[in-house]
Amino acid sequence: MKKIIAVVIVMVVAQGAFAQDAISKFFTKYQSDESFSQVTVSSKMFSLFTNMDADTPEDKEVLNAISKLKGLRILGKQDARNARELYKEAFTLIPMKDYEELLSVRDKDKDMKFLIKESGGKISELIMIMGGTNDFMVMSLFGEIDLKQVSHIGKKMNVDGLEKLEKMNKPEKTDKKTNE
Amino acid sequence: MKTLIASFLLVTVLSATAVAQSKSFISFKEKFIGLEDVHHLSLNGFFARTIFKMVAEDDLNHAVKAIKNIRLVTVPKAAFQKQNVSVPGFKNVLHGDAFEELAHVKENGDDITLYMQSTQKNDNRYMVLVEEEYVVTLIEFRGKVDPDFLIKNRPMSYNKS
Repeated sequence: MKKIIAVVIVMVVAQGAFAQDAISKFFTKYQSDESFSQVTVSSKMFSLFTNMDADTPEDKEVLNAISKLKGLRILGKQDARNARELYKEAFTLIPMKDYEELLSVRDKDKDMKFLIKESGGKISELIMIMGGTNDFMVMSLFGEIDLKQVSHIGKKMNVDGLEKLEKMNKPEKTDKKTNE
Repeated sequence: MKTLIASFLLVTVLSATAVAQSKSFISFKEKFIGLEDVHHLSLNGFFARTIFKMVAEDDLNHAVKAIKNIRLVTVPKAAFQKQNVSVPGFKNVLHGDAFEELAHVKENGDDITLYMQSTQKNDNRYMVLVEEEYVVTLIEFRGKVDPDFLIKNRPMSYNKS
């Protein structure tokens, strides 16, 4: 019986580690490729925001939302001739069954997709994938995510693209596609 | 008499400076100091803030005004091989010294990691480890840094535009 419990615990832990963020496979594949840029922000960094003073109630909400984040990972490539191929490859490496599409943006020089992972009515991960003519970026934000604050968080962290979510108030279960 | 007083003051200041350094910074510095092309620089908060005021923008000045001191060591990678140590090994030393990773950036082959050691409120110790192709730089500073600044400005930001 103890062995069964041990095996179950190992499986749960292993799955938890594997499912921590969807771009781990991408990171693993391209981490030694120096043409890629990588950014990782830990939960410790986000927790520092809990001690910050807010000037307005809105700022307080944003700081509160940031302090609930557990991590951020970005993998990007600038001046990439194969940006479109990388964009397509991202969808083959991300386990799409675990995610819902939140928003899709297409314009003449770039495609963007926002995916979310929901559990227990809460959003635990937000993925942004962007493939342009010359640039590629995949970003994973995980923790307890308040979609209403994501665009503000994006501004605070200087991450382009998240402002596209500014007009969204809450996640929709059905796909929402927008063409710009 | 003046020489005696000056010596006493110098020893006192140097001792206080040594105490203010983290164990991991001291061990890193002592491992390499004296070797070829290893450079060490130490600035107290006043000098650091004065330099920032001369060269930096307002938001940086605002973010670093509570910094008490900055220390820096640059070590050629060849010295690591000579001393039979490695950068990942030093990262383990940092973890052992209660430094927690805040952020990590890899860009154009350079590897930058920011750590923080919580001491007292508003008096944390930060360590930046910069690994370039031929040189490793370790920067330690103590005080309070606005996390908003850390997360928004390079090397902690990633802005595609």
